[in-house]
Amino acid sequence: MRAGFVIRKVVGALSTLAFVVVFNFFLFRIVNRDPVNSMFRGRNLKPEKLEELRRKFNLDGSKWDQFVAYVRQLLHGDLGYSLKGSRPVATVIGEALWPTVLLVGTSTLLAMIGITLGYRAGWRRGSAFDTTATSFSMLTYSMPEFWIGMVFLGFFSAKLGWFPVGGLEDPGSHASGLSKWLDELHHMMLPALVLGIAYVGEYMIVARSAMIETLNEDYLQLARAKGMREDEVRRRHAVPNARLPVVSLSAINFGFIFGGAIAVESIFSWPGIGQATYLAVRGPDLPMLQGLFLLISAGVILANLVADLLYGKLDPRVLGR
Amino acid sequence: MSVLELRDLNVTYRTEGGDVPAVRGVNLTLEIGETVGLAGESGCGKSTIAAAVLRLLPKGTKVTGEVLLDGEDVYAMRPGRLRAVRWTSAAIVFQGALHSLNPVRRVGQQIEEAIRLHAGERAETRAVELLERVGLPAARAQHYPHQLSGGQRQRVLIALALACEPKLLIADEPTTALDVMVQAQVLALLEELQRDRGLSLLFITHDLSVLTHTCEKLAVMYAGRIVEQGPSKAVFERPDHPYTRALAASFPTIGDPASRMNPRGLAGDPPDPSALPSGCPFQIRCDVAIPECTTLDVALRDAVSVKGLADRRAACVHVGVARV
Repeated sequence: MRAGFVIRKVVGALSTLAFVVVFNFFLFRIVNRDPVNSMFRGRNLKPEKLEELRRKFNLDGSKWDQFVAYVRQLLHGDLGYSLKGSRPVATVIGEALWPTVLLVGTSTLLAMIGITLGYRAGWRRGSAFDTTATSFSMLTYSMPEFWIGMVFLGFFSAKLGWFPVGGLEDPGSHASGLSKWLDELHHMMLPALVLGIAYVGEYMIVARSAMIETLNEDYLQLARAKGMREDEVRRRHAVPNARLPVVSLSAINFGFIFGGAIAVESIFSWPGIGQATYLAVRGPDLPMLQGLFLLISAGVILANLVADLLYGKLDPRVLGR
Repeated sequence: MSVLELRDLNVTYRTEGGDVPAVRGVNLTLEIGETVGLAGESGCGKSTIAAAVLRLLPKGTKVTGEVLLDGEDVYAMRPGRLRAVRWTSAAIVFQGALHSLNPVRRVGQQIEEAIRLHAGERAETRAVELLERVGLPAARAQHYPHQLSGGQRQRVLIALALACEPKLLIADEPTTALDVMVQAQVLALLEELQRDRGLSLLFITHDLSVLTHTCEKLAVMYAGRIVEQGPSKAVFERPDHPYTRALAASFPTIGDPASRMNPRGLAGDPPDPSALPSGCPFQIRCDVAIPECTTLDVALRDAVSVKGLADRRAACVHVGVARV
């Protein structure tokens, strides 16, 4: 791959990130002029105490001074303090990150079965397999994930008792090693399945339509004329040309891995980024939200960068002559 | 034995709007080393014939008659035999080089793939040799189709068609999208390869003047059937069928300002194959049509317009029946 192409894409991603930092900072300054005041809802507090809190949350001085201080902190990996419990935002996010990556990552991989389904359905457009797979995808695609979540929770956890009702592990569990891992897996199965079902349809539908677009291409006819078997024509000529839309979609979804799944994490009390976001919005815990927004944006930007670089590999036309 | 023989070939596409007969009762024979041109407007069924030879028509298309490749009926072959015959007995230089090459794979790989499919050895070396044979430097093997010019892509397609050393080459409008200079180069290359390798060549184009240069024999198609057949020079210079006459006249004579300024093109469009008129399908556009033409559909028959010239056949009421 050409170095110029890579540099261009990386610079593009970094400048988007810089813009997000600026935007993110001012957005939260516009939303609330004095979070410290609203924190205590006008309760009597010594002015010195208020001043101290403002310093802690980086709300003293001019907007410019605040911004410079914010960027400096950011470069040191410091995202400020959460209004709740006064813990560093970075620590809170750090704790929530792994459960989310585990859950959303697993379910995204699960949902990617839809890609294979979609390619095969599109290849045999109008066949019984296509009709079945498409109907199934439309059905799951149109079901909101919170609804699937609640139905599954009610049926598999509450009624059948096959899965725990929520959380990352059994409360008070001191298990370690393999049994801890199995316990987490048991907890994760249901939410991962729900998310997987919620996303599989989208992958299937996008992969199917990408495949259908290649069906009438002349190079498939040429491949057949060469004496190739149909499944080889699909694998070696059709699929490589149907990859781009699927890669775009996967990139967007992988970007949201860091964003967590707000609805499903809340329903299953999964201690991830989604639930942290939900709680921060309810607060509202502005420094926390600011940190989360930055994380989510960075995730999407990074995933898009990876997708852009992959395009160059998958489709040489992207690189130009 | 003929390399290719079409016996009463009928191809009917099945569409949602009904059956569309694209090829209607075509007989055509190609001997070893022979070059035959197939001419006609778009939609006359000439590309359908190319696809029919290697059984590449869409699923559900109705094909009757026989397509004999080296005496073996393509439509009676089992799938394995069919795949083995494809590209080794006959190969196609497809129309539209931009779309016929896979955009995401290197051109060298695409040639190697054909060689490997038929258990060829030294695929990589041979792919490069083939590219050099069609006048492209070896380094081109590493390029993607979009990095090549139209003429270069067409050369790649020719190299690709030669990959498994077929006896029969079907060239489907191989020069249509090219500018005149490149067109001449590609034609010269095809002729040279045909001579060197003793290939049989079925050359399909709408450009009658190209065919008269390249081919010994000529068949002109209209609305799914052959309406005139014969030695190409004779057919071009003294057409028997009014359609051939119009087709030949639509090319301006070089150096003749009168024909340039006043091209005698053919008015109207070819008939819709799903709703052919009664009688002769050409009668609506024909300037010598007589009342009989609306009811009588004359089959291809021996022509006697020029005495002593053998092998001339045409499907027109004005063409004589008895050979003198």
